[in-house]
Amino acid sequence: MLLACLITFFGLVITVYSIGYMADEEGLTRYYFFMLIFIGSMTGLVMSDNLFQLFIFWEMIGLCSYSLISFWYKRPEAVRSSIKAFLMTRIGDVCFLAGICLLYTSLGSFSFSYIINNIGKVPLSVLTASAFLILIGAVAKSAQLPLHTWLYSAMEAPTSVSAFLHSATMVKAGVYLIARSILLFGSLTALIPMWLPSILWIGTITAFIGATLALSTSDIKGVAAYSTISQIGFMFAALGTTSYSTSLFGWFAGLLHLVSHAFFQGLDFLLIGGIIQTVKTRDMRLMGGLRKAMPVTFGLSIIVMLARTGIPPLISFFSKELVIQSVLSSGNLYVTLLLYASTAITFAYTLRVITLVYIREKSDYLKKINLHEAPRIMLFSSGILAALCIVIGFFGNSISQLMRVNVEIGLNEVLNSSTLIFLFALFVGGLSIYLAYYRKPLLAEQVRHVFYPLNRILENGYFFDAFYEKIVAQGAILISASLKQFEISFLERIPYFFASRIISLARATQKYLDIFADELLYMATNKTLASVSKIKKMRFSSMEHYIAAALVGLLIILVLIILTMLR
Amino acid sequence: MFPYASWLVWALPIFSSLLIPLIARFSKNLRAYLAVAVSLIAMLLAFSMIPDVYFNTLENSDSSLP
Repeated sequence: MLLACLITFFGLVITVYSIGYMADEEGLTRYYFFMLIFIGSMTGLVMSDNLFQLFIFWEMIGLCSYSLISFWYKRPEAVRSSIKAFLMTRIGDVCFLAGICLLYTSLGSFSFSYIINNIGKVPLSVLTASAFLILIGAVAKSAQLPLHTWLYSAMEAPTSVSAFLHSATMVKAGVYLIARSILLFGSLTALIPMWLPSILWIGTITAFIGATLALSTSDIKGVAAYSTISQIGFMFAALGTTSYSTSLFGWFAGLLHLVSHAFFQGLDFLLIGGIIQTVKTRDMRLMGGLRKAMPVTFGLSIIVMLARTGIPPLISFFSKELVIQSVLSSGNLYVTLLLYASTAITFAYTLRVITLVYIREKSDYLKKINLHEAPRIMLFSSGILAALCIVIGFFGNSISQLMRVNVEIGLNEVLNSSTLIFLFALFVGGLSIYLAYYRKPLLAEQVRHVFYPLNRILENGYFFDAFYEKIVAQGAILISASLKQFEISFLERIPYFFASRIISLARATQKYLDIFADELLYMATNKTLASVSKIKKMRFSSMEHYIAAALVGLLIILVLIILTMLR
Repeated sequence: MFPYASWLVWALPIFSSLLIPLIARFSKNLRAYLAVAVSLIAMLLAFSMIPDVYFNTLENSDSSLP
């Protein structure tokens, strides 16, 4: 219900924003058509009370995403990105469908309430398979490792679409599905020992990798995309620590971070849309000095920075603190360290964006452009989100009450020793950017030079795309080529082989049949002729006997008649 | 809660999307305003459900397909 409010609210904000942002575009009928279907489908997804209905809406939002990514369908890159997003999410969708079908075969119902009440009847093997298949579905939809690369490519979509679908709402469907699955499987999650730890590790590694990628890219939308991937990783990590013994603390932390992230990331994308519209590029290396030309956007970007970093009393401070506390309570040191590192890098890349785009000197490229503030209607939408980013932190307890979770949210409840470590991590992240871009500008270049292999890995996005293109796609092409060759050289020859054999057989049969038939006919003819001659002989020799016997008989009859008359 | 809000909140935007091509024939501005109006109504419907959830009085608000 809370998510339905969130989705419809964002739907309204983004539609209003689109009036300004998409004003000069063609094909807006298609745009608004799919946007409205998306709003309805996403709301339907979170309002569903059964898995089948959820799956239908799940597919509908996938279709809307595909259509909206390729909104500028004349750009080959946009079309390629939409196909990539469509195919990668399809992997998850197939697994998700298989998972719910497995549950259905055991229980005969898709209803959440029925499944919750009868989950004990599901065999453990089916439960395990189903849980992991649903997890793959969620991983693909929420762009988590290793199926995360589509989200960066999806940035080819208009920024309003990126803000709504690929940041605030659609990518959260996977988080929602995991949260719902945890409730669905209930206490039986303990019987699937690898499930929750898998969610925890996928989230943690994605949070770290997403943050490092956001730090290395120079594409302003790329930073937002990788940031989204990273922050959803935080949500997954929190959900992975859920235990029924600790009153769903991790579960609530994950969902609260979902809500807070929707606000600041949505706001970030709206501001990016205004910047790109003004400077006509996504490359941050060509930007700089925008704080003077776009003061309102700069001010709102500071709010994004504070919110994304998690500065109190913004809502994201509470949500991040709860995420980290839930991870700390799991007792997993490596996960905790990785999340602290991700927090530090989050602050670093956010500060880097502010530095490159707004604070440093204006680039030569920007000096040629007439810079101006974004249109008022776009700033109005952004302003509403910014205000909510600040205000909603004070309604944390109401949110926990809405979710019916017994967690108190306030500075007194949240502040503890982990907060100090959290603030220290932020200090480390901020210090690195300060040194690299303010105090010693050459330091960044030197570090990049020294850690060249690491830099190359980051520039290539950990080679995930290369792996998919070179290994998976090329492998698939190779296999299909081999299968085609096999078909040409073997399968297609099978009918010819059999046909030629049948023809040979037929010819041989014909040949032998001809000989046999001739022989048979000859033999039959001979036999017939022999029989005829025999019959002939037999007929002519017997005729005389027949006539003689008939005459004798006639004679006897005549004698008898005469004798009778004489008497 | 507004009657059938749990149904209308998702059905209204989906079915209203079919009107977009129709409205676009008459006015480009009206097309955008229709999208905004539908989004606004959907949001109001969603928010109208909050009191019932908050005070735990939401009973039989089945939003599922029949």
